Amino acid sequence: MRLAGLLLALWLAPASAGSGPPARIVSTAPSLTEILFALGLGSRVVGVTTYCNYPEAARRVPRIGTYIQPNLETIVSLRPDLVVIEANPIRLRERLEGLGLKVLELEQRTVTDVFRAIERLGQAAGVAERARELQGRIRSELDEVGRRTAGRARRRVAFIVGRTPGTLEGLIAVGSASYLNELITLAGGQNIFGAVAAPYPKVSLEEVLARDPEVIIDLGEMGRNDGASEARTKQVLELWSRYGSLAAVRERRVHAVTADIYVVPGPRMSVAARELARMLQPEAGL
Amino acid sequence: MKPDRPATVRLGRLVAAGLLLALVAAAVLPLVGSARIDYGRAFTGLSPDKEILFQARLPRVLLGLLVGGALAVAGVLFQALVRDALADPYVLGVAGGASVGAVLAICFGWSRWAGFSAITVSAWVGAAVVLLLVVGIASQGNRMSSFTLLLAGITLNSICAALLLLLHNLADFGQSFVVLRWLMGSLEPVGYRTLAWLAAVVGAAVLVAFHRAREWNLLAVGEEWAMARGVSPARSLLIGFLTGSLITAAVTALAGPIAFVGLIVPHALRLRIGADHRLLVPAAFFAGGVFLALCDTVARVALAPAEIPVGVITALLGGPFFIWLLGSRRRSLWL
Amino acid sequence: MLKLASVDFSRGELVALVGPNGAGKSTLLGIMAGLRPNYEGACRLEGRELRRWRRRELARVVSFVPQSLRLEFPFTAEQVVLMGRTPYCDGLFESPADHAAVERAMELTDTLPFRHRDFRALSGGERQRVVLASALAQQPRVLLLDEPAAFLDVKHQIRLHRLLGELCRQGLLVVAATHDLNLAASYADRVIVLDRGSLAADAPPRQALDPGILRSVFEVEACLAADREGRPWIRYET
Repeated sequence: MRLAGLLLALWLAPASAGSGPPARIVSTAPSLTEILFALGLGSRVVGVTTYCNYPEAARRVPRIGTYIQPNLETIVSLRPDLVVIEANPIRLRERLEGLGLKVLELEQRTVTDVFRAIERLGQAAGVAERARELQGRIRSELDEVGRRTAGRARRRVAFIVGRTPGTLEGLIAVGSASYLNELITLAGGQNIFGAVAAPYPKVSLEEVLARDPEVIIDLGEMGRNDGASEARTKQVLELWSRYGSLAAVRERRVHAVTADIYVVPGPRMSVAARELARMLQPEAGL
Repeated sequence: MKPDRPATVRLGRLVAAGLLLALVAAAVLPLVGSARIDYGRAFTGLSPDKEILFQARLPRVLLGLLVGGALAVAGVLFQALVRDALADPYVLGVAGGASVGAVLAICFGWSRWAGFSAITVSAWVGAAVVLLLVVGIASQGNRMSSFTLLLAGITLNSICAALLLLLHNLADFGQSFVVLRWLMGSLEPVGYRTLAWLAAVVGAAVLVAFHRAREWNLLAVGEEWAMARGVSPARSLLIGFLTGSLITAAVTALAGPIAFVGLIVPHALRLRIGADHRLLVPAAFFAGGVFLALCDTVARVALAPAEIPVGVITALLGGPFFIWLLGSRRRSLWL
Repeated sequence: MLKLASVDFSRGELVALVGPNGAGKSTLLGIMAGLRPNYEGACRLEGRELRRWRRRELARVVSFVPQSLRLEFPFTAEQVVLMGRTPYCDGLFESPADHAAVERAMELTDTLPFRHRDFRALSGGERQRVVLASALAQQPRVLLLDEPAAFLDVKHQIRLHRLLGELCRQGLLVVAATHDLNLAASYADRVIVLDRGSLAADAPPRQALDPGILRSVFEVEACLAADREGRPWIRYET
């Protein structure tokens, strides 16, 4: 029965992928889902990953599995005429194309990548003009952040994206190859691990202590994406306060954050930049 | 070491050498690290130098000594109990249970319970559940034997592995990252309070393992062999399994599963000092500890300021050793 | 399944246990050695039911030499023999008296020359002698052996049987399972023939190994002769 459905879908797929802009789009990454919705293509999105929580409307779209393990059968059964995927190592592109689907593969590593992704998605969906508008809006918001923080002394910052919850163990920080490193720089910060080649290196507590950050942004309790509760924030501050020699601890600049804007390189990166600037340069009045 | 020297003399020298080595490691390894420390400031007042030395490096080196020693002793024990030189502390299921517990805590977002890391506590619970199941299955119907113990352990191990895969699939993106890191195993600077209870648990268990070393000798030869010499194999197996499992659970709950230490350290030592567990147990404790503390120092500094999980270093060193071992093994493998 | 009416052993006897494959020789030895406590009926040692002996006490009275021993770990020959002292040891290490007993046992079995060698590197016969030494180190009153001569060269076979005879004269009960009927006939005081789990004969060699029993139990044609010293000798007819 399922196989029959699959065969039927295979047979139908080329027929619907005719000329004209795609009408049924599947996204396999949260950042791409956000771009699609920001481009006003929400009504054409027929499948997203289980991680796609933003915007609210995306939650009501059928799920096609996770970013790491998309369910190809589900994708095919949704009869998409475009599948947008993030460049990834699981040969998703070949596998989808092998099923006769049209695939658009997009890089999402750097800020520039995100702008290019918006542009290419706009072209592919026939909304190039809207894509240019979206790019312009994000660009101007980023520029605004840059202008306000320009000329101020940069603050050394450690951005911890992961650790073993409840402890300061297994610290994973933002390194040079992450788009967050660019946003930090833009927001008036100096990433203390900005010279480490990996996007998200595991770092030692020792190196954090030695590099003495003035600001610590801690995403480590993001076990649940349920926002920064009072108790959780207090817990994070308590963990760090064991290390009284840290400038960030002395100056009370340890921030517990849980928002997913920091892990999705999409249109909301300008929101992330503004939030970063509020933590890094509160005097800038953003 | 000459085999014709009395065993008591060999033991004395071995323990003295082991203690000395461990002390040197505890004193020297904290001086090695990626950050430069001003030792003048490290011993006075509040300074990053002091915190790096006493809160970041020293507890981590001490943890390495304890965890490495514990894993090596557990390896020695389990190899003797199941009479298989390829057994390691993880073969009898308890570490799998600990991992399932820890991953559950990560996936449900449990963070701290009553002042303890929820992951550690949950790992303990998972280990205890598996321990009871293994003992229950292994002693069902007839009395516990090496064979039923190994069978029950391996069975539960694969069930735990399946559960881990399932949980990992259910976890969201951020969690699955944490899960993956945890499953690699690593040493972290833990608090001195945690070190103290770990030392108490591991110390007590290693003493039991040492005290009953004669029984492991007999079991390593065979169960009938032990029985014919007045030792109850079922009882010794149970005590050995509980002791080794306690050690494994304690260190796995804190450091995750760290590969190869419990496999290669016992082997290397047997080549050097023989199979007598009265020497092997204490030697494994000291050698395993120093070995892991050294590996962790490499993990800390090799790619500084980034870190390599210590399990990667032990596996990189252990892998080739293991291949060599397989090559030199005359008898066929059955695992 | 082993079904015996009743067999009694007394000290100073050298008893050979013979029978075709599967006759129950190893089972009987295992029960007598206390390794198979789930037997039915009664098996008494010095008047006390075997099951009621404490393991450690029993190990000081009865010792058992298994057919073969395979080791996974590099114990030396001496360490294997030292394990025989377990029922006497309380501390972690053996006393000088224990070492003396081990020395004596290894001397008797001619195993001292390779006492420090890895047991696994020894030949089959050498291993068998080391295992025998370990059983002797237990200083038993009853010595049970399963095919003790299977891997021994002629010289050591003869030495073994002399040694067993000597031990009997010192008051030990020695029971050895063997396939070599000639050895049984020439050295044993008494031969027990088992056939598919039950007793076929229990008598001195000359009666126990008469051609009728050899035919019905072992299914071979043979006659019993005597050698120059008058010991019985079986000649198989092929």
